[in-house]
Amino acid sequence: MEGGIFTELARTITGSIIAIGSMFFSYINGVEPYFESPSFSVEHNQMLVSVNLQNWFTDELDDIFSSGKPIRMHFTANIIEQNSGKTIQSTDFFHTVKYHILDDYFEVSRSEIGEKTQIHTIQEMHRIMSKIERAPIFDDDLAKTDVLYQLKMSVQLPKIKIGGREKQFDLMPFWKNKKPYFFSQQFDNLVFVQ
Amino acid sequence: MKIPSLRTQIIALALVFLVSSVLFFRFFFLESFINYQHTLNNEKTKQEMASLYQKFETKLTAVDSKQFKNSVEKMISDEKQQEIAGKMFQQEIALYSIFVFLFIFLFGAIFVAFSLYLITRPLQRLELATKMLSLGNLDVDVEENGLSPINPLIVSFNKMTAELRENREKLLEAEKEIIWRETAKATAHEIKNPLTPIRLSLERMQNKFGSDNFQMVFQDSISVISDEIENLRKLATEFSEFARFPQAKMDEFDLNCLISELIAPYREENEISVELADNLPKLHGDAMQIKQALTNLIQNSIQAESSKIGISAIFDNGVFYIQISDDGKGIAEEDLPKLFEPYFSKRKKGTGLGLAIVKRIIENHGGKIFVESEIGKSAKFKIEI
Repeated sequence: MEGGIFTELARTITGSIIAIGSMFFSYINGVEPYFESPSFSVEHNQMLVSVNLQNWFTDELDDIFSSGKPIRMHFTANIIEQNSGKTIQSTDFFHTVKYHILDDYFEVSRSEIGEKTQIHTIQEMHRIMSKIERAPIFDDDLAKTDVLYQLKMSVQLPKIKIGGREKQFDLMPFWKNKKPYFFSQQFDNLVFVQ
Repeated sequence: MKIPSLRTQIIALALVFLVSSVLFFRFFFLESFINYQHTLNNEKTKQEMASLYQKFETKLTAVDSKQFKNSVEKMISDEKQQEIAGKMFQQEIALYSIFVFLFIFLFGAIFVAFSLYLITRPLQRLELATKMLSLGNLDVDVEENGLSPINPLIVSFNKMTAELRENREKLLEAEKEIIWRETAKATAHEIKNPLTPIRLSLERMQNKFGSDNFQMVFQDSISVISDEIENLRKLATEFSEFARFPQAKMDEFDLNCLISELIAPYREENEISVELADNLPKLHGDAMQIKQALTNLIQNSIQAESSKIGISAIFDNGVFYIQISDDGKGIAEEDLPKLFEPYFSKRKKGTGLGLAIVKRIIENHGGKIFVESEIGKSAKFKIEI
């Protein structure tokens, strides 16, 4: 039966129906995360951002985190030139969490600060995972005079393989398939002078 | 290619629908779930545990505890992940099966609607064509559609109407020939009748020429010849009118008014009772032709030596019922079937066209005429229009 025309047709049609249906309905009750309290600083000719992601986890996500499967949140910081709308610098950060079952702790690594942290409570894991700390996003040598810039920061959850299933499982439905993002206020190269 | 019967097609459609629904689930959800269950039940965990046990059983004290821990941790992690994945898979199936059911339902509904469209629309066309056919319009064809399961019926219908048209043409030709023969026969007969008295009168005048009573014979003969010539003229006029039967000019008119008007001159010399229903709707037809038909019937009653003539008109369930009765000498039972045929007459000087004209007018209006009679007592003409 495998490889039969009807099987392929059934798979294609059913896959299409599911894809279309998933655009409107989901069996996952997701949340809508948002960024809160962004703050900027300059250090070593680099602009740094600190920000917290709020309302980002659910019980089902916690189950996945607690399964021992490493999960990586992908943050993207784009510096956009206002005149042209072009992205002149794009920086990626990753927050990865892995639960060590036998030792009962979460290991969280944050690429923006190059740090691994051992955390023993899930609440603390939530807090650390959502916290971007002093992430370098803009080099001053790229900043032109009299040009306004803006930061757009977003984050997304990965697709993972879980439980031996062939199909990759997308975690974004836990965030209602919406990438949380925020735009900073406009700034110019004078931020590096101050 | 021969199209299967409608019943077979409906059964086939239902089967296709059922089988495709089952196969969708069989091939997609069920197969996926079986594969997943197979993965879960492949005893991988057990084998790994056995392997670990065999590997570290005798040297547990020297073992690299970190490696051991990682392996065990991975096993537990896999178990947990499988548990989560299984839960999600169930939720997925619950939701996605609704999508698929909805899709199959919609697809099936559209399919059935389309199939019905292929049946009902041609059926409507067929119904309309049948109605037109019943009204006498044979120039009707139903549009054929090769996809429709009732197309064979439509094809048969079109074939039937084509045959009817062909037969009508043949019938018309045959009727024409018969009519011409009958007309020629009747014309010859009607012309011969006056010719005999004319010839006899002329012979009589010839024989009596020079005799004492020639003057009287001459006067009588001239009178006979004159009368017969007048009869010939009338005959020619009636034939001419029958031949030039005009096209009906359809309009709406008040039947009661028409009857009242037409009987007025006859009432002076005949006893005519009238019974007309109040508030009759307007009759759609040619008032002049209907008047002519009713006049012919009244004249027929008068010529039947009636002392009383009755006329009634009612309207019921979309039909006008007009009745003209008399207490005249009636019509013999054997004459009833031929009564409305052209040139049939029992009167010496009748052309036999009066009742034929009546029948023709009534039938041209989509109506029917019936006659009931008791010889020596009465006659009753009933019109439904």
